[in-house]
Amino acid sequence: MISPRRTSRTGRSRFTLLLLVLTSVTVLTLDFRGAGAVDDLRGAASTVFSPLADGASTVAAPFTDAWNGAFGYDELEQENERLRERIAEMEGNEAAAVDAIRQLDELAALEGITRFTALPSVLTRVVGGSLTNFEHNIQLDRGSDDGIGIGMPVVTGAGLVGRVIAVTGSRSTVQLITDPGFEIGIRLARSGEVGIAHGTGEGDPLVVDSGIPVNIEGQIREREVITTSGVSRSIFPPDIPVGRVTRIQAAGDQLSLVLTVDPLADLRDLSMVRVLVWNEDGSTG
Amino acid sequence: MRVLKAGIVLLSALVLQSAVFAQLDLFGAHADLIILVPIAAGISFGPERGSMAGFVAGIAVDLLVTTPFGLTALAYCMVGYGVGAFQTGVLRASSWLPVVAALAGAAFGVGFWALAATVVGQEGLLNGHLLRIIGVVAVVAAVLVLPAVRLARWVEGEPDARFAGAR
Repeated sequence: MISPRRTSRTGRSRFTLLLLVLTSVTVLTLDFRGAGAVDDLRGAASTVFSPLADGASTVAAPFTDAWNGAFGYDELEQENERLRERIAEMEGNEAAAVDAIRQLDELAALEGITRFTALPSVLTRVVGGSLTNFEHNIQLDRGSDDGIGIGMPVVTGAGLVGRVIAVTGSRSTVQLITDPGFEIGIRLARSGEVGIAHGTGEGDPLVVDSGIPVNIEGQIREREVITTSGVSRSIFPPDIPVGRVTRIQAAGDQLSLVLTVDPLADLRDLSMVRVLVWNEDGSTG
Repeated sequence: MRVLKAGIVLLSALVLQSAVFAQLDLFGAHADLIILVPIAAGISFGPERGSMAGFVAGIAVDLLVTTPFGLTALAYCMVGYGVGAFQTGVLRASSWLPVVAALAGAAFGVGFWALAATVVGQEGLLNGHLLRIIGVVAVVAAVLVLPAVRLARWVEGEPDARFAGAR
């Protein structure tokens, strides 16, 4: 027989759960409606928590590095092999590239076009990663005090890393291009065709699955570079290298192509990145 | 005093998660230390305290991430309630019960979070990688649940006699 006390406790715990679920749904709704208080709270929490997390990360770094080195040894070997191939390839292309870049910079200057290489930027250190499995972010040690704002592109010497999605006075959060919620307008270097790429998860390639017509299949080469498109109202300036095409296949409708793209920037081992001081309206302040 | 202890434990768990567990790659996923808060509270003190601990821990996580605010609180309070209800519903206590509860609770929590996030518009979560995340989070939760239960008892005092499985 179930005692009345136990039934009462069960009823009370269900009522508590109901209240908590309703509260959660309410704050979720407030967040979706863009309540500024949520951003303010997150900013304050980040300001308080960041120094503690940074200190602990510094202490734990030897252990986490050793762990990831030991358990990712095979991956490191493959990475090493891949990097050697890349270096050989880059050394071959360097001389031609330097001359082409110089000519392009001169032409852009003559036409009054600002290339991303000429944009003002802030060099920052990567001080952390995602707290949970469902974020694909990195934390930077500089924020709005250094001129960083939401939406600004983040790059390394190799290519695009992501964009700033949250900022406090001394810290920024960057959404990586591999985040499934990340979309970007791209341009194929050879054909100039534009499309839309999106992330598919940490460590996974990007996918371009709209905008590339099937009739240009013959013009696309494997390992071809794709860059940001910079078309009107684009969230990035044009010509930032994004990745290399590693696979080309027809979409299910047979009308467009699906391209698999490996990011050029090594997103698993970022230590320093550059935030381009560039706003979506094209201004640099 | 109890609130102070709970605050210290939660803050320590968040710092450990950020500095250590989030940096360790386990088969392409990361362990989730914070999900042990509702699991340990549910096992030790039942569904009501479990859901409350889950809500507070979830809100703390939500403050530090960029995913929709309130989603982790929602998932974790469900985990705390579910684990507490499971523990209450089992008539005969056993030493393996907390491990089973942690395994099931963590798996449910991660799956629920991904499903709820998809409902509110997050993309690319329901795929093969989710199973890997569920597996890693659940196994690590099962391994660490007994020390977590001891910590919960230190914070809250001895558990109610009804939740004998936690002993």
